Amino acid sequence: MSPQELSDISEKWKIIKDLFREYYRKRPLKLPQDLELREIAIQVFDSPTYIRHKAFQTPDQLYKFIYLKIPRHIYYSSAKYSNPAAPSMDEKGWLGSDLVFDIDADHIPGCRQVHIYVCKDCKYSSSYKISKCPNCNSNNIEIIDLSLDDLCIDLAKNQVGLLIHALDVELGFSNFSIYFSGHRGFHIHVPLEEELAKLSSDERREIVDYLKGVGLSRDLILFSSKSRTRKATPALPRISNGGWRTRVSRIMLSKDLKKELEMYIKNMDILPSYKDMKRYLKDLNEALEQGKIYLDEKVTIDTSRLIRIPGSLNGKAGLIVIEVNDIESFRFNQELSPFNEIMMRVRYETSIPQVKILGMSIGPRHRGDYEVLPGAIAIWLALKDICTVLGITR
Amino acid sequence: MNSKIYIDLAKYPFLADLDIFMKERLGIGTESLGILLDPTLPYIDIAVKRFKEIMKLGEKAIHQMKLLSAEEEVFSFYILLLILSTLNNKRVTERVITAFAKRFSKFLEDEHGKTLEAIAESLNINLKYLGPCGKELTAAITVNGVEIHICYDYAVHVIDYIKIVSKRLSQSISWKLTNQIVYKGWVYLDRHKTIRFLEEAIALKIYSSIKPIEPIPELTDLINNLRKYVGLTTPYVSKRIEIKHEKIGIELPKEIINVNAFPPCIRNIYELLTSGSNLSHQQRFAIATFLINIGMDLDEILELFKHTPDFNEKVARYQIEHLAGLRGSKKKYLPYSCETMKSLGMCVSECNVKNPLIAYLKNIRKSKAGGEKSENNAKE
Ligand SMILES: [Zn+2]
Repeated sequence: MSPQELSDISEKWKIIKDLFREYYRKRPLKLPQDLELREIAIQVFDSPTYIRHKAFQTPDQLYKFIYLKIPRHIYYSSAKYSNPAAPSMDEKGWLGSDLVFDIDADHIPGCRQVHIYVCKDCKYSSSYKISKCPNCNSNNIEIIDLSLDDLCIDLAKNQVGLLIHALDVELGFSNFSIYFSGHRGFHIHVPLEEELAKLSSDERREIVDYLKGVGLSRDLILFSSKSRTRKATPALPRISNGGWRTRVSRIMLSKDLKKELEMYIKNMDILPSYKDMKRYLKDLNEALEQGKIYLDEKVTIDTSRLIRIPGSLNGKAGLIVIEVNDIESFRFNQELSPFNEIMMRVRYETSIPQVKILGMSIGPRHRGDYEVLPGAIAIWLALKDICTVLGITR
Repeated sequence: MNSKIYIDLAKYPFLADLDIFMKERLGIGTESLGILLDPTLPYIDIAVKRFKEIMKLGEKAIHQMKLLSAEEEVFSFYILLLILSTLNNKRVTERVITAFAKRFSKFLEDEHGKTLEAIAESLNINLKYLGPCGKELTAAITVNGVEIHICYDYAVHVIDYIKIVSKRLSQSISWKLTNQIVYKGWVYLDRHKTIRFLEEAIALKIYSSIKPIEPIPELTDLINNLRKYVGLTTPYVSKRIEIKHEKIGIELPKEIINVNAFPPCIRNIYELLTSGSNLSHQQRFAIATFLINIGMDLDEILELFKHTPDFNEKVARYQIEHLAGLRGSKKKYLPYSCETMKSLGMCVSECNVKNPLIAYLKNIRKSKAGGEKSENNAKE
């Protein structure tokens, strides 16, 4: 490696680190009231390992640490501990955990991501799957999630809609916050206190199973035993029935229904005919599938999970982990980046095909090309090792 | 209106606070627990008689149990818990608790909804009695346009529901939260299910009150008698002797794990495990403790458990580390003795040893001796 290349590596993250530092100067984090009970963990730019088991008594102390380290990722524990800085779970003294849900667009069927396959040794890239580099024969191939369809975010939004309705109307958890993950998904935090916070992993799994529809029995949901013996058909569920019947009712209302059936589902005192009930059973089967929520169950079941601190930057994409008040009106665009008002000069380290990122179409570009890009896009690409940020044009 | 609800402690002795109840009836509290064991009082006889009947007949024994006075029921019940704690045998405990929970469940069947609500409250469970058909759903409709209803009289808070059900009941889909009518945080149940739910809650509460203890002197003879009665032929062993047993584990050769030297019972479970069968809790305990004690690396054991259909790495790792004594109690568990394996129906052949570990050790020695011999042969 030449001296020039060495200095390139140490310089590689300099501009981005300065930008992250500047961002954190505004004290943008939304910290929990019980900060002193949470484990804090970070990952920095120059090392792949986590710095874990940190704890801070006050936000001031935490920010001091942040300015010193400039985290690429920063997390707190969903758990509260009597001694959060202790190195092992046994010594930490678990006091309970919030309930956390993770909906990631790339886990939802129908979401198509744009990947490229990059040789880590020579930076050759391909849009098609390769397991060996045709340029240098290396096996050291990395898959990079370059971008994702807008459809993916819409699918994720729809899942969040299902989830928060189920949490609120079905399970009765009305106190929750929704956060954009800063990349391609959403986190839902349900703060739990005292005895509730002590739900075990097995108990949390029961909640996850409920939301995902694990063990869902069509016969039980439709009370099939009541319509088996006589000449009868299962009744369509109503919106206030509860459980999966409520979930399915909401989905049915989004379909094209006869006015009478719609009124029935909405709880009005009206009884559709045997024939009409029977006709919609097929849609009902479909709704039972559509009601299954695609959660990353590990996140919810793990009672010592590290979660991104609201207000922090996601170091995979450079977007803010921002609170979403109304999921319907959430827009996936450059405004999610704190760097959207500056332009940056970049050099491509890897070739990319034409692709749409945060609403903007770029490329195709070749390795070694230079370009001036909006800050949000430049940082997105730089954090994915596609380009290097050379300078800022304000 | 706040009318008082009377709960009969004779029927539900587990709801009595023993200390308060003793003070109320005898004028002294649990500091004088020994008095309950006085052979001139009827309590110990009642407890032993009921214990033996349940061991003999299982759940059927409850039909022969008359309802006695509150003193007799409460005191004999706590003596029974004391016996279970001292015997410290899972199979025995389970048999007794299951039968008693059934007995309590039978009593619940005669109670008014408001009483069920109060009993649940004493168990720290938030249960609401809604009145007859408090929640009504349209379940089906006939060809002639007649509506068929379904009724719920009770609702339990979803968190309490999960806490009770996730232990054992949710293995059955009819109890899984997924298939429940849950609305605004309440799970709706009919009377039949409510009673079954309370039966489970009672069983869990009783389980949680049974912790292994050293026998109190007044009970030593009785306990040794009962151990024989339930087929645990060895007399009570104190902790000191157990430590000696643990040494056997340490002396085992750790370098190589020789599957061919596993005793047949363990070999059997090992094959079930690697073929991806769902193992019972006891089978898991048996194989995991065995592998830990022969010195298999914990990560390797974890790898084996990845074959189980319900594998959850975090949970499995926790459990294995717990059994290996790396967590909580710091107690390293020994595999079941051959005797226990027999009583659990997991013993498949008579090896004439006391513990599967010893069978393994013998087999290893045998194969080693054989190996050395053949090596010598080769030199010649
Ligand atoms: Zn290459």
